[in-house]
Amino acid sequence: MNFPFALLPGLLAIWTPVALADRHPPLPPVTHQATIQACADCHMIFPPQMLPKASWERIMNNLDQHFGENAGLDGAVRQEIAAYLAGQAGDTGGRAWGRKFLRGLGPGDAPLRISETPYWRREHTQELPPAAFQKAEVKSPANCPACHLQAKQGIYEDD
Amino acid sequence: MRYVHTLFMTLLAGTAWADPGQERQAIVEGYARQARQEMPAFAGFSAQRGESLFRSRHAGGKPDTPTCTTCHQDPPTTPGATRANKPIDPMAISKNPGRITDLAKVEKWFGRNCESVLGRPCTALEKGDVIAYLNQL
Repeated sequence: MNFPFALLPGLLAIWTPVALADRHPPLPPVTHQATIQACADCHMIFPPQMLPKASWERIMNNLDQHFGENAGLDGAVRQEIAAYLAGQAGDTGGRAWGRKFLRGLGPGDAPLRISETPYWRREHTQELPPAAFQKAEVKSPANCPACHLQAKQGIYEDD
Repeated sequence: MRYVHTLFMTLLAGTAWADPGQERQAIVEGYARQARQEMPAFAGFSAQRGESLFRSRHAGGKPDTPTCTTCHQDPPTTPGATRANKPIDPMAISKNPGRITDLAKVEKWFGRNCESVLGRPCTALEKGDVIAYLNQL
């Protein structure tokens, strides 16, 4: 018997917190058809869990001024998408993930961009130079799949 | 026998509705009717005018999108990209035969993109010209 089983508890004591720290289960891919049809032509469908309900409300109530575009929608469609996003937001139905994504946001905070959340900033500025987002293949912080190759499967853990 | 003949003719007629060329023709004819109303001197669409509109830099729109080619490539025979870098299938009809076959979609994107690039809606003449350009690429 060559394996030092006696070391196992020690190894686990070190490995477990490291492995579990900040891991989250994959986000459920968005399958809401109305959202996909209205939004996916221009950008990846951003997981609703990554912003609070108030953010989604702000975005959906101002679609005619959507990051420089008029993304206006017919009333019934707009309402359906708004209800979906509000229901899956990081502080509502998406709480299992939102606990982490919304860390550092105050109760009234409603950032328009995921990249404006304290969590995103911490994850993307400690190891990356700002120029990373200006590279031609990336172009914008809104282009998650440029680096997060499994974003479509809801996996953003790349390390 | 007559039943089979009727069925066959119905199916044949039915396939016409799925023909992208026919769908596009209907869209172009719709714009031609509108263009004639906008300017009685309308003498048909011009791919050359359409190319000029598509590829020129315009001052009236948003600084991010001075020309159609900003997102759709110059010439639009290869995939383009949105401002969030999401790929856009080529606009050239030879590369993408499904282009300009769904009027609602065509109107939606002319609506948004003419506003972004030109700062105003496109006229029916301009829409028809652009389609003529995309059709001969």
